[in-house]
Amino acid sequence: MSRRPILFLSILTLLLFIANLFMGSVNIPFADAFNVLLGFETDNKVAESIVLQSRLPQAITALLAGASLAVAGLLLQTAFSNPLAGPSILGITSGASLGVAVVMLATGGVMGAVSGSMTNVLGAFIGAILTLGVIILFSMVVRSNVMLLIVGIMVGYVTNSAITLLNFFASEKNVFSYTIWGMGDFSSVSLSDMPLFVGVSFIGIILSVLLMKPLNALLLGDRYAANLGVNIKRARVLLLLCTGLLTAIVTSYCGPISFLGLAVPHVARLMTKSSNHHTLLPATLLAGSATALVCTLVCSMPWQSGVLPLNAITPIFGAPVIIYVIINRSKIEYFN
Amino acid sequence: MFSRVIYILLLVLFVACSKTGGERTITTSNDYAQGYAVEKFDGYTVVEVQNPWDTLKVLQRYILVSKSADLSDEMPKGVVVRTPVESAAVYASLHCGMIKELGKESVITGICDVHYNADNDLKRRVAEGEVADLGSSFLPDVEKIVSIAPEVIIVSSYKDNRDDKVARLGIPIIEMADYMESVPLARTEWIKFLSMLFDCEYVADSLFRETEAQYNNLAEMGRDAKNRPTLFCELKTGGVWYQPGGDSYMARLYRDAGIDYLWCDNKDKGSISLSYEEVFARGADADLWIMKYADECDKTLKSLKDEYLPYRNFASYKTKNVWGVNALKVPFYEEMPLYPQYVLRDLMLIAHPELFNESDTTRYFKKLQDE
Repeated sequence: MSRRPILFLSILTLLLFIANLFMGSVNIPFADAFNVLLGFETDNKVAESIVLQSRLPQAITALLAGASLAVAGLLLQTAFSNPLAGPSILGITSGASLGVAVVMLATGGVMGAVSGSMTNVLGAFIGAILTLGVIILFSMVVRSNVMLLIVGIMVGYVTNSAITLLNFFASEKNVFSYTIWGMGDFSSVSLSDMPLFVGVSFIGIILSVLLMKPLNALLLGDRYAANLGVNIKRARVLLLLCTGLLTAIVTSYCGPISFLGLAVPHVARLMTKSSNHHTLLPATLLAGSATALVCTLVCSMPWQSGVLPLNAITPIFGAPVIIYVIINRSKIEYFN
Repeated sequence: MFSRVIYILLLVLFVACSKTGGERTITTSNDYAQGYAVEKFDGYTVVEVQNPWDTLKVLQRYILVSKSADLSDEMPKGVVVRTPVESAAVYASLHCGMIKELGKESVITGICDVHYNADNDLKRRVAEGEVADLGSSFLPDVEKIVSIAPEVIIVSSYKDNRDDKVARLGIPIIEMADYMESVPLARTEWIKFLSMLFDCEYVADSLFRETEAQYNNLAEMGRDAKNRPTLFCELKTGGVWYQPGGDSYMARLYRDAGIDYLWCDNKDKGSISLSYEEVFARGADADLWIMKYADECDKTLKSLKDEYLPYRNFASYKTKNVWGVNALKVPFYEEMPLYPQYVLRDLMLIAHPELFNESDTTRYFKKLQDE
């Protein structure tokens, strides 16, 4: 019954992936790009370098980052029975941002002020995992999901206050680098970083697939799920760990990407008209990838000068979806 | 009839005199700086600083009046500054440097952003309490400014950063728009404006003439150079790769150094944001790659590759003709506005080593090592 949207999304994602390889801020003749991709000899060395070393890693990053953030959003929305939950709401993104702020600002650029360098990635990852740890600790104490959500938001506020302080005392140049990092970017993962990025994203995505069963049970409410034999506490920790891992790896490499995680699960639900995770999860994965690929494409259209920051584009796709969902909330029954 | 003519003549003379107050005026035109104009009257000097974002408008008009002279009603409207200024709060470390070059560092009684000030002597004076730490230049501590009661506050004028609280103190704010000048010697020439506040124009004049002569000599050599190596600059920040605009300060330095900067056809005075693809499409075969950065460790070819793998695809990377200046290690930004000739000499040493002795070395830039 719901095969059609998934097939449509698969084809769309594939087409967008290919479009990302052929289109960019520099015009490369179709034949040259084609030859490069198929491994044929070409005289156009510039095309070879741009397609293989810039566009290909960027498209793979967008594909995985989009899928990861969307799935993290879906997991959190189900776990908290709240359509407005997303990866940024639990403070994990803020934690990653704080990690990067410490690297870039507090050390006065000591550890390398250029975004995309390994120290930033490490800083973001440690920041995200530490905040995740705090949230998981609270999840052991706080029973109510709403309360946990509020704790997450508070953790976000505290980390943001630390970031504000760091920004205030940092040099102009470092504040600038940090601001640029905050605008999001899929181009910073080069081929050499790919194994780590792909590896961790895959672990997160596979873990989320394994969580499908308890997720479906959680849709019926905690008590029903417990009656169905789901260990609520363990499921919750696993869920947090999975979303934390996905958000951390994406934010580390690409910066805090807004709206993707929040909006895409809704698009998937509207398309599949289902809240069964067996359908919803693959649809969310694909829709996430497709959205990220569209945004990347829009950011580097050849008719504009240079590239646009990613976070200038993602809300244009994300915000209308959220508004639609809020207005039609009574009609769209996702959660019991 | 005759007496009537005399009467009319006298009237004309009277009107003419009353308009100028009977003063001599000399308009001093700057050789390079476009951002301010000086007009000297008997007993006072008028300096008009143009609005850098709307050059038809005047940002501030300063009336510099000697402390020994009296103020008169005939003076034009403007911010009155009594000279020589004996105490000043200075926001930017660059202007502290300029004042020091004028030999007037003792007038500095408060500074901002102490942590980022390159002058150790000034830092020591702050530590000893002789000079006040006014906090961040974006949000200065108004109470501290009041407590040191400087005669003037010297600030870098930012478009949207007018601090009303400080303006309300009634202390004259000297807005320096020097950084908006895109010609190197024009930026240097702003030292003349500062010197007028401290009554030491002759010092500024001789400093400027020396810089000008050295700069123009080098620039002439650069213009005559036979080969003009091609150049692209800087590094990718996030998804963006900023290059200096074709009409910018740095682009002008590159041109004067006899370098073919690849975006010299651009008309921007600031910087232009490009993607890796665009920089690579134009700069893949460029002879030179010059970057400015601020890191604890000097960059190497290996660290560049680790940062972003496609950097190694540039011809300049392969031929190891990559140069960088680490602003954290050398006072590059502090010295450049005052001594653009040093930067020019460095660039010429990089682009045209044949014009120099083998023993000559660069002051700021270093060739990137392998590791």
